[in-house]
Amino acid sequence: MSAGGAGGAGGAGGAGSDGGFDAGLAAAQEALVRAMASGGPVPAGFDAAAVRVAAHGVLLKRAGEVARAWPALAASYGTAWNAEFAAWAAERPTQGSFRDGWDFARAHWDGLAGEAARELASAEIVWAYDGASAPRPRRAAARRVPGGVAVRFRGRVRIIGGPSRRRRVPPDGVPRGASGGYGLDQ
Amino acid sequence: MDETLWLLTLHFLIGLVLAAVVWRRRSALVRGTPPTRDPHPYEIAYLQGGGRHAIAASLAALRTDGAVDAHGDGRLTAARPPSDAPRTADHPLDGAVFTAIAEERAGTLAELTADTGVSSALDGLRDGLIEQGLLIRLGFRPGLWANRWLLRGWVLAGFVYFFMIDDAYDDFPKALIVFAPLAVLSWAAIRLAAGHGPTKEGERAVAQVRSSSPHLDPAQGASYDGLAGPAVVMGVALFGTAALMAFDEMFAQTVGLGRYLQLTGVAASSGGYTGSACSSSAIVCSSASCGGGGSGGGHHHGCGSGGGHHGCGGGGGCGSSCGGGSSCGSSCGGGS
Amino acid sequence: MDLGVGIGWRPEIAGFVGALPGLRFTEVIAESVHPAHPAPELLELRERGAAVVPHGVKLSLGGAEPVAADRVAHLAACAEALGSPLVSEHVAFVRAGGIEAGHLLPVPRTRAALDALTANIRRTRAELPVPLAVEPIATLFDWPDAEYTEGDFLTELLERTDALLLLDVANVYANARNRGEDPVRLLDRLPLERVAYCHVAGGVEQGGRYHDTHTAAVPRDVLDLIAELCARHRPPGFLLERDGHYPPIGEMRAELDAIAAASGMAPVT
Repeated sequence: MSAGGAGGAGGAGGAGSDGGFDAGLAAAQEALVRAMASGGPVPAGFDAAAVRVAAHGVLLKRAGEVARAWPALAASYGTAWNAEFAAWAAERPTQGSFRDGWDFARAHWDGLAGEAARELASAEIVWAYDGASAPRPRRAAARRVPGGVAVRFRGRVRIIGGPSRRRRVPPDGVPRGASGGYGLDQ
Repeated sequence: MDETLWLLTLHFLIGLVLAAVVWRRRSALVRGTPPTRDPHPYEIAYLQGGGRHAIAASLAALRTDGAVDAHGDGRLTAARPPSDAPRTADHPLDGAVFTAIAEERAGTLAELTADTGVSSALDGLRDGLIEQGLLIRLGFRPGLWANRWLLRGWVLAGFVYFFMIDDAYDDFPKALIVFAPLAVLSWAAIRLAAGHGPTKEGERAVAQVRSSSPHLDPAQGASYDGLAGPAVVMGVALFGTAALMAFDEMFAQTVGLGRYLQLTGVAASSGGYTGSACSSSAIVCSSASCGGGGSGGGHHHGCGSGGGHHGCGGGGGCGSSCGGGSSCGSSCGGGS
Repeated sequence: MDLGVGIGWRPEIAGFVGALPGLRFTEVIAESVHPAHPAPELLELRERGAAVVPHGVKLSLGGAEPVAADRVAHLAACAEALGSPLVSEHVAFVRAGGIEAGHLLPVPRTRAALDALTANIRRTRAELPVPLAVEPIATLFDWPDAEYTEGDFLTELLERTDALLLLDVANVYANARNRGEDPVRLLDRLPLERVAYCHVAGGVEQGGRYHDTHTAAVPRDVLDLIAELCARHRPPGFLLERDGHYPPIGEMRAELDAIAAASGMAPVT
């Protein structure tokens, strides 16, 4: 379909409009959104390379937003996060960063460890999410996390057991590199 | 003589002696000892608001040296101060705070507080204050600890014997007369066990420095422009948030120091500040991604079930208080 | 109305924004506001007398379907909760056929798109308690077969709807640069007296294209464009948009000061 032609010709005729809305324009916009968000073909007449660059930019922006909503998940991928998420999301239109991150985490569930697994468990016990519609709050729930159990009761989340979050300290209690730090050369 | 009454009298006398011993020891501890040297500003800060206040004073010292800076989102970052400039920050706490920031172990105040290097420096500060008789930590004084347990054991033994074993005082009104002193002593035992913070001498030391430093009190119109580093740090130690605001409001507010000091529970001139870096409503708001005190993280207030059309959704991380159905940053990155 | 230099409020930089002594103008992403419980820092700015403008990003005014009533109601509720003098949205669409684009997409410069925009802006304005300003977006590509120039398209849209213009100077710069045009020419063809306020932001050049990322310093060329604009008609306010990679506070202040200097407005730092 020629997107430009549909938008232009339909508008000029005014046919099929709903108080100023044109069916041809709607179809042309949908084709463009499909090209941008779900891997569809770039409609004729567009600069395909530019559309692809823009679509990739959106994926990176989505990766950043998901990383803010799911910091441990993103951190567990390190520098590979943007590329990993962009590859996964390329043909999945956004459902919002919270659900995007959740869907990604579920799709990569077997590879999650430590904090990322806890983060997913924390979400799972607070919200009931079927993967297709908006998450709904739960009253109470419990989920296993690495080395422990996450429990939600009366609106509070407790993680029982699991690896310590404290950093390891050398026996003398002085952190690495402290001797070279500022202000110790008194 | 009624054997039970005799036992009861003996028990009561033992209680009095025990309480007197504990009370004397506690009074000595509460009184403390006068300092033999001028307290360091961080000691003043610790006496006023504990470890957080000391960290705030240390950040002020590093800031006067140009050794720390903050990003717009409040993340702390280390800077290289000019090597020939005089340094205000020369305390082990400064070294620990700077190292935690420089090695990117801590970018927020919450992370700084949790950092092991910083907390061991604070432990050193605290132990020094206890040593000098300026700070009480009752739970850490072995003599008092033993006495306290003796007192508790005495209360428990009396209770068990006179209530459970001996049945001479089953008659209620009579029992009330006899056991009322026991109740009072039990209460005294609990009171004796409680309490920590500055000793009377510690409070006096702070008051002394404070009264000799009216020129540092922002409430009396003190100006921090061009003030020497050590004076700035003492001002922050004495007057907390107000001094930080007078010294470098932009830094203090961006980093969230006012709210951080409010969490010390000390009314050290923290008036008027309400800024916070994490106003988020997010469930996944970890302390790592929040600027303010980490305790602000986990709750979510009335933000619906997420995934609706808009508004605050299911929680979108600390960074953006939207989540769920809306990716609120849509105006960012190449669009608007 | 005189707004002066402002900065977009984001939760991450709430402390910094709140500490700006001269700030009288800020903007908040409308979709992030809970009208019953606005962020306390925003209310504090409001109490200080600063104008807080809700900036919508998901209304899809340019979509070929009527705007969602609940989204319009949310925008109106934000304006009331924050006592806003106006609200703003984009000349763009963000979804079609039930699929979210995840971004602001350009509309074709055709009669049909103009009709759709007109209908949606009228619907929106009818429900809003305050005026609406609409912002042309930055885009890396254009629709084929345009029936209008950008200047004519926007001018006719504003005439038809009586809406105000939110002119993003960085978008004007980015589009002109990516199209190989002179940004000043667009300024000369827009009804500058209808500008409610302006956006300013930084971006990065990548693969030969300029991306308006809001994560970098404002380029010299954009500051120059502010001066060009003010030489023609000075708008009531300039608002810096920054959405990540926040630099040290000294640099953020310098950005705001540079905008004040370029526009001849009072510094807010």
